[in-house]
Amino acid sequence: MPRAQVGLNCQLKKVEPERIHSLLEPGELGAMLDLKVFDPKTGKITEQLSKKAESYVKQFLQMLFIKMGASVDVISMTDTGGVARNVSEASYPTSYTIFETNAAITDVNYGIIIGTGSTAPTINDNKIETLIAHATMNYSAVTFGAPAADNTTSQFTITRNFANVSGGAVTVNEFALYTRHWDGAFRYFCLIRDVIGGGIAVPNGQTLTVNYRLQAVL
Amino acid sequence: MGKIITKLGLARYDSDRQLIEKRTQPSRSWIKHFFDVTFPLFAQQQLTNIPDVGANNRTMGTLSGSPKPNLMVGSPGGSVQQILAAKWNGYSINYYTPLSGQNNGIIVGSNNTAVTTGDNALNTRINHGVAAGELLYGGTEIFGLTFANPNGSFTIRRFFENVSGGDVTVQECGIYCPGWNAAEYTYQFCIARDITGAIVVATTEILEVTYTVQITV
Repeated sequence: MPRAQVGLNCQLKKVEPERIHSLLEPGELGAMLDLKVFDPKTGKITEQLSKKAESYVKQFLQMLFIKMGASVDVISMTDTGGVARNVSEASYPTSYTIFETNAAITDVNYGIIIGTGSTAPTINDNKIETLIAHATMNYSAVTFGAPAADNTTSQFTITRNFANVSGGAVTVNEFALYTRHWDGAFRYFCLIRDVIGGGIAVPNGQTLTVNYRLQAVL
Repeated sequence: MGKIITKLGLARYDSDRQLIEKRTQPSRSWIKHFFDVTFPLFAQQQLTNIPDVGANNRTMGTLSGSPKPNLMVGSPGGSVQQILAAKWNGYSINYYTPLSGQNNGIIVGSNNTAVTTGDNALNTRINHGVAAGELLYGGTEIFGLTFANPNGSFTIRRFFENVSGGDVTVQECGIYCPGWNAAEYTYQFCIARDITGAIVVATTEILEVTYTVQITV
């Protein structure tokens, strides 16, 4: 009987970095909006979609301008309450925090926010049209995925879960990213607002996960 | 359809400030470090092992409840200067070396190696100065924030003057900005890099580089 032989089949493969899903065009700075409805009882995903976030609004560009210029010149920005606020990058403790979105559980003032409004976004939007309250869809804390890149796309991820505890189905039509800024009190500003035609239905007891993946594509 | 695009403008002027050449191209330049310096602002979380423009791994920190210099691209001209200033907490006055000039804002270089998402710096920076192969760096300005529905935009601009006595060829440009490490130090990170094609800036000429960031909803 011939002796058993042990051999090695050597193969070399080039492992490409995992491709990051993006619908942005080359050169574009933007975001992807990912939605997933999850049934915690069955462990199944009941609906999932991913689209390009369409609508960075005025306040995003204003804050980027302030931040890049380290501007102590005051920019008048409209907060989510419709009030004009003077925002700048003045020295602590007068004014600080630009782009902060790390809201805690139950906090509907900033972070990712959801609503039922269906009016198309405009650059002048300063808030979500019709907020869905925490009592209807329980807002989790906002979590983050660290920056990553593949050969063409760089990104980081902002995530929030919304558990439907309303007793009935809830259709979510609009999504927004709010930030907070301190000028002696916290002020809240809308950076992104998106509307999805037809919305996404979240049955009672199920959880909607919303990801904003801020991206740039070479 | 909503989007953010960035246009890269390159213009060359003679010593009388008369336009010689002007071109505009889409910028395809925002690279991973743009998100590395932005992430701590959004998340209030620390990042580690982020290579700075010198390829040294740095911590990108947070300092809860304080301003952070991340993303600050406005800059004086020159190379570096010392200024007499108070510390941020106002307890002492001392000399500080602000991140400025050729270390911050719009930077130009002489190498046309393709851009990658992982670039840490321009491949070969053209230094501030009057020696052969150098350009005088003006300040980096941020200006022109305007909105006209559905658009909004602002511009980042820097002028470079050639008094070196010979030609200087620019082939790349980019944007550097600080990242805060939460221990009273900042380091420089490259957040954008573009290949420009060869632009020969003759002695006495001025090069203008602009990045125009535009939102459309």
